[in-house]
Amino acid sequence: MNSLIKVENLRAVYLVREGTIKAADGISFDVQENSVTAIVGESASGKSTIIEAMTRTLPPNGRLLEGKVLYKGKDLLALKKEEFRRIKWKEIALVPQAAQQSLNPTMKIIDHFKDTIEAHRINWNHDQLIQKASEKLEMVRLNPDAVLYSYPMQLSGGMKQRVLIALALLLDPEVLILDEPTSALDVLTQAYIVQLLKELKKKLNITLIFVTHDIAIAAELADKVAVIYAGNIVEYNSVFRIFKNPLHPYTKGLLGSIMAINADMSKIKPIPGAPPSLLTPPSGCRFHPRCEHAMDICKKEKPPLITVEDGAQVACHLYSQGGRKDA
Amino acid sequence: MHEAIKVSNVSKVFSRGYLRKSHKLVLSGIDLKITEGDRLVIVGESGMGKTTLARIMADLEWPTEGQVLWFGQDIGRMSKKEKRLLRGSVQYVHQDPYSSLHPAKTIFNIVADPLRYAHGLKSKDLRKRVKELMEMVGLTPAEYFFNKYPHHLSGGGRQRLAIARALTTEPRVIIADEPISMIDMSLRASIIKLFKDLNDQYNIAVVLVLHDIGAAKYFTYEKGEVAILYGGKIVEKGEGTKVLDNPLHPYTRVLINSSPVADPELARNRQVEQLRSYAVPIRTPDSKGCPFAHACNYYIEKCLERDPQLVPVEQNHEIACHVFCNRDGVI
Ligand SMILES: Nc1ncnc2c1ncn2[C@@H]1O[C@H](COP(=O)(O)OP(=O)(O)OP(=O)(O)O)[C@@H](O)[C@H]1O
Ligand SMILES: Nc1ncnc2c1ncn2[C@@H]1O[C@H](COP(=O)(O)OP(=O)(O)OP(=O)(O)O)[C@@H](O)[C@H]1O
Ligand code: SF4
Ligand code: SF4
Ligand SMILES: [Mg+2]
Ligand SMILES: [Mg+2]
Repeated sequence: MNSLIKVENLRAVYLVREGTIKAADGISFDVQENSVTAIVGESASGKSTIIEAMTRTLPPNGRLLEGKVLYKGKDLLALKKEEFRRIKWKEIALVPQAAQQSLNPTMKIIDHFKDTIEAHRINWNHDQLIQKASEKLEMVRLNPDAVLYSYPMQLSGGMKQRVLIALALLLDPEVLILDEPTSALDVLTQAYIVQLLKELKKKLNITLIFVTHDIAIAAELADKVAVIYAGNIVEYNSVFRIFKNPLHPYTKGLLGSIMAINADMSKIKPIPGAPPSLLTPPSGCRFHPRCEHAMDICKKEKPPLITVEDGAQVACHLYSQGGRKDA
Repeated sequence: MHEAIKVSNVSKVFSRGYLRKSHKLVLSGIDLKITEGDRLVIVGESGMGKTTLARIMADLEWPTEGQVLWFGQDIGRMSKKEKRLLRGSVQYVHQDPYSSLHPAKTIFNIVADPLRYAHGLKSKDLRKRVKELMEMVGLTPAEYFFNKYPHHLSGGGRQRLAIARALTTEPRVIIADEPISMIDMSLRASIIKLFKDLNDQYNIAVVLVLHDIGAAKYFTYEKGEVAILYGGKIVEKGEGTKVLDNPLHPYTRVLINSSPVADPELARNRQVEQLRSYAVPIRTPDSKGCPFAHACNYYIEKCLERDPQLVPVEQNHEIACHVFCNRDGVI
């Protein structure tokens, strides 16, 4: 399998009055063609920052310090604006976090589709637009006749989220990036969207990257999972490996603490402590204040993300290059 | 065992407008109770009436119809004085730990103020009691936090502080509305655990409003009851393990079947039931039939006409469904 996207040492910060927030601190991972990659982490761990840095959509006080995003051999972060715009949406489409709120309340859904093609300088006539938009809406199981002429406020949260996915699919991208596609939704709607994304994946041969704070959603949908803690990838492995044989103490702790319906309730064990501030993150391994295996070196040196057996990747001093000690 | 809170035949209608009044039936015919020292979870999706029900139980909202009893007494008929005596016994913890704590007060004062006003505690006794309460909720070492402010705490820490403040009145019942929805994943289990500990160690009855079935299960797998709310009605209720391990109502079943499982193989091999509609039902006092009928895969004609009533299917397990009420857990 080929890597379609290769993220290398991405570092991004936010400038605030009190200093700099080190929100993405040396992020590297590969995305295979036609695969589903989940970026999983708690609130404020830096998930959206990674996506925003990759898609050049950081807010004004965000700064990309270094890093590359190689896509088909080109570094997206080094491309000229114009060149990047040609790739964005046509090849790589993004549904940002909480995008439902960005739908313009005074515009019908059809006008959102029209805006999208205009922004990307596509010359479709009205009939072509309707036909394409309907095709995409049907793909997300919405009735185009009803939805195209509705205003956003006439749609439920789950319908709006599906409209956004249809919009992102409009120009047949190869890569679809979704930031928290299900987080504001109810259990049933969430399950429905997950089901839909599974179908899309099968039908379209598309590469999906999605962000979620709910690791159980990754179990449903992902092939590979990157676990983020305080701005770092601490583990990057196949979904089966992550759930059956997690390596990093944080991944283990998180899996042991989530109250999934299939969990053995008597074994649930909360992780002590709380996630750190990214303004003044802990030295060395950022998880060390909460880690029951912390050693001297953990406070001093940041563990690099290394590859251990079977291509599994982990950033923890308990594992040395090539081998694995039992944690 | 005595009932701590009992809600009987409670309905709530919100009305809007003057000339062409519109009426929304948010709760209808709710019968629910929690025994002293027990646990209860109210589960449902957004808009189903959970907060309204919890607020009615806490006397923060008035029912349009029906009664609420605290420790056997109808709170609608109590004198002011009687109510004042009981007020502190039932405490409500707000969903949002960020907005419910005064940002400019020290953590010490957030816990101390109610103790000063209500119990007249001072100096040494006050410090001792604040420390005790903070230790009860796991904010330790307590002195470390005394001069800090809510913004110094994580979401979980703030939730603990809100609980400590609720404990100042020595309640016999705590009602918490979605206590984990706004806090970090890795801290959620510890908050549910805290409520279990308060229940075990101090015999405080705890009512939690949750939309997360897994959390409901974690809270009630040892003891306690669950009520499933849909469209303002309780569609299934009973012992936690019975309802969650052997759900019988079509809505409960789909809710559990749709909850994510933390197991990739299971997730790939199971079939998630698709509903006929995902719209939230809007009910008025004139609505008839089962609130789930527009979505349910099993509906029959009767479902559109007649409102199903809760009936027992086994000991301490009731459902409101025309189709499944007579069957023994097999579909
Ligand atoms: N524009 C900004 N200015 C300052 N700080 C920011 C900004 N955006 C994000 N941050 C901070 O950067 C860190 C990472 O934020 P980010 O939004 O990437 O997290 P996330 O993992 O996506 O969280 P969530 O699950 O809440 O969406 C957090 O500490 C956050 O407070
Ligand atoms: N003060 C009010 N006036 C009018 N309608 C109200 C009022 N409070 C609640 N409602 C309506 O009552 C219904 C139930 O609301 P409630 O807040 O009890 O639901 P919930 O189950 O707690 O939902 P959520 O999970 O979103 O918090 C909703 O349709 C809501 O819009
Ligand atoms: S590097 Fe050390 S502190 Fe960090 S997770 Fe590994 S053992 Fe724990
Ligand atoms: S009463 Fe009818 S519509 Fe309602 S849940 Fe039962 S079968 Fe479905
Ligand atoms: Mg985010
Ligand atoms: Mg609510």
